[in-house]
Amino acid sequence: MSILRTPTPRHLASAFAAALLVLLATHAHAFVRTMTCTPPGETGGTLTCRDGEQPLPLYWDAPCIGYHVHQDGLETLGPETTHEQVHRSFATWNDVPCSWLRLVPRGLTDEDRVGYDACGSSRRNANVVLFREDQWRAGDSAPIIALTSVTYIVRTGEILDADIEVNAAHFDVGIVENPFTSRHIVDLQNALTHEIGHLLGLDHTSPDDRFVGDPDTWQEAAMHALTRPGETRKRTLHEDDIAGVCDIYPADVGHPDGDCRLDPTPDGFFVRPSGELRSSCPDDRACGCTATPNHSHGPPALLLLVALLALRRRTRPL
Amino acid sequence: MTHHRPSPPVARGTRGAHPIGPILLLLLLVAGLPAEATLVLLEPVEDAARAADRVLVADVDHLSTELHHGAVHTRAWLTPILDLDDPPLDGPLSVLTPGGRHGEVATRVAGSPQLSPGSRVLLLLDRGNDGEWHIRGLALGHFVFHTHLDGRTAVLRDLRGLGILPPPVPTDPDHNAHQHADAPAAFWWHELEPALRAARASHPPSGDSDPPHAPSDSSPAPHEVPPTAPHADQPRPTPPGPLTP
Repeated sequence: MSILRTPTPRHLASAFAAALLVLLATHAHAFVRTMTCTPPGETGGTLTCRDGEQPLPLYWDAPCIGYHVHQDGLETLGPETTHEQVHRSFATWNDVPCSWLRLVPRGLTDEDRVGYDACGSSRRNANVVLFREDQWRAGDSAPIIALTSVTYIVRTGEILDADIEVNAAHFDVGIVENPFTSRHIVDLQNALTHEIGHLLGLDHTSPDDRFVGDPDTWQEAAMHALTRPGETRKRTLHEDDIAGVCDIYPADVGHPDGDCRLDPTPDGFFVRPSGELRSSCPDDRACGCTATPNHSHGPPALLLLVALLALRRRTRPL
Repeated sequence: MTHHRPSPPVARGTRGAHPIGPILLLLLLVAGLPAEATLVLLEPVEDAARAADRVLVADVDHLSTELHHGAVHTRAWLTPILDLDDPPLDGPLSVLTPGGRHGEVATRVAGSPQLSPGSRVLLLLDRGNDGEWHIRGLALGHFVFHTHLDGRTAVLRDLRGLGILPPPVPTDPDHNAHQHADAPAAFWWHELEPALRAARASHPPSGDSDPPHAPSDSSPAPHEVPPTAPHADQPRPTPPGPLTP
């Protein structure tokens, strides 16, 4: 009897499936980039692509992005410890050699509004990390741990603003020192590392890649959507998270403006170029929008602009 | 060195649907799901329905966007079809969800529900401190009706924004992939409705504009809810009147 057998269609199908799995395991990633719009036919609400629009991935178009932390911090941790945890979370994403984007601390703020106002001030449009301790924003009992609101230009995908809100009104947010004794605590650094991934333009990892590679490591990605109180593994990036951020901001290509050399002025606010968006602003509101990309403007510069515009309006003929 | 802007016209690393869905779904089942999410707690439907301020089936009429406390929000205008609370809401209502498109800019909030005009949805609503209705747990409080091949009505929880289930979402509640012990994501309506009614019967009255309702000893018979909103040129059921098969 020969040990060699003629392959049956079933064998061929199995072999093909195995080969396909190996192929996908070699080349596929689980990371997902956030897109500007959702193709028609899928549930996309007001973010459904309109006629002629294609979904584009989101990105920051600057070598460095500033962020601010609300000055109050978490009451349970105190301001200093809270701010330290926030900076650690951002530093985790900075510590990726294959990415050129750098996240730069720009100091503390008392700004507690989220979102982007094309006609608003630079202060209004800072990227902020907020802690909602007294009242969560969307419904008093909604079981939401944290939110990141990313605002972008639909036509290009360029991110203009990203704000993170942590729900400390309904959750015991703090530092998990020991996963066995801190099982009720939502680890701040764990949650923020995930949210900062959204700030950078990453969406939740896709479970349709769960079969790729080791499923256990897939669930360890910082951009995995699920967590539990007591979890800390999202404090560190999975190789898939790193692949995601380096796909958006590849260091070997770099940014046209060069490396990040933002002047670390503590009270400065990052201001996006938004001349096109400002064109619809009323004159009396446009003053605060004037900005140069990637440079910090302090209050004196804004005051000067306000004064100049006010003078100009006064001398305008009736 | 050649520099370029960081956004390629084509999304890299973004996955589409794979042709080996059954294998994938089986692995999803085997892997299991943690009980909580970074953005939201993955509450079982009965728990979420018990905690919500209002549970209803509604048709999504249209959407609009607005700035709410300075942030872009989408307002969905709804016509109630079936209110699981007694007395039912009187007339149309609107719910506010974070994110949306506002002129040249848009705001995305991962996990936020995306309602489509013309669809029929089951919503678990919370009344916010701002007086607005919000969907409880973002997309987790949003369910879409589908007609199964055998004609039965299925209800699917919107988990795509959370990356929990692979798109496209299967419409068979009997499929194992949806029957996770902690939080199944697909249901037969004729089974889910009595469970929701039972949950609402144990819901504490919420006060404010929500009239308290008296728990009922006998659960009413399940209603047959058409899976899709009636076409524009077809007569609409008078909300929240009785539903016919």
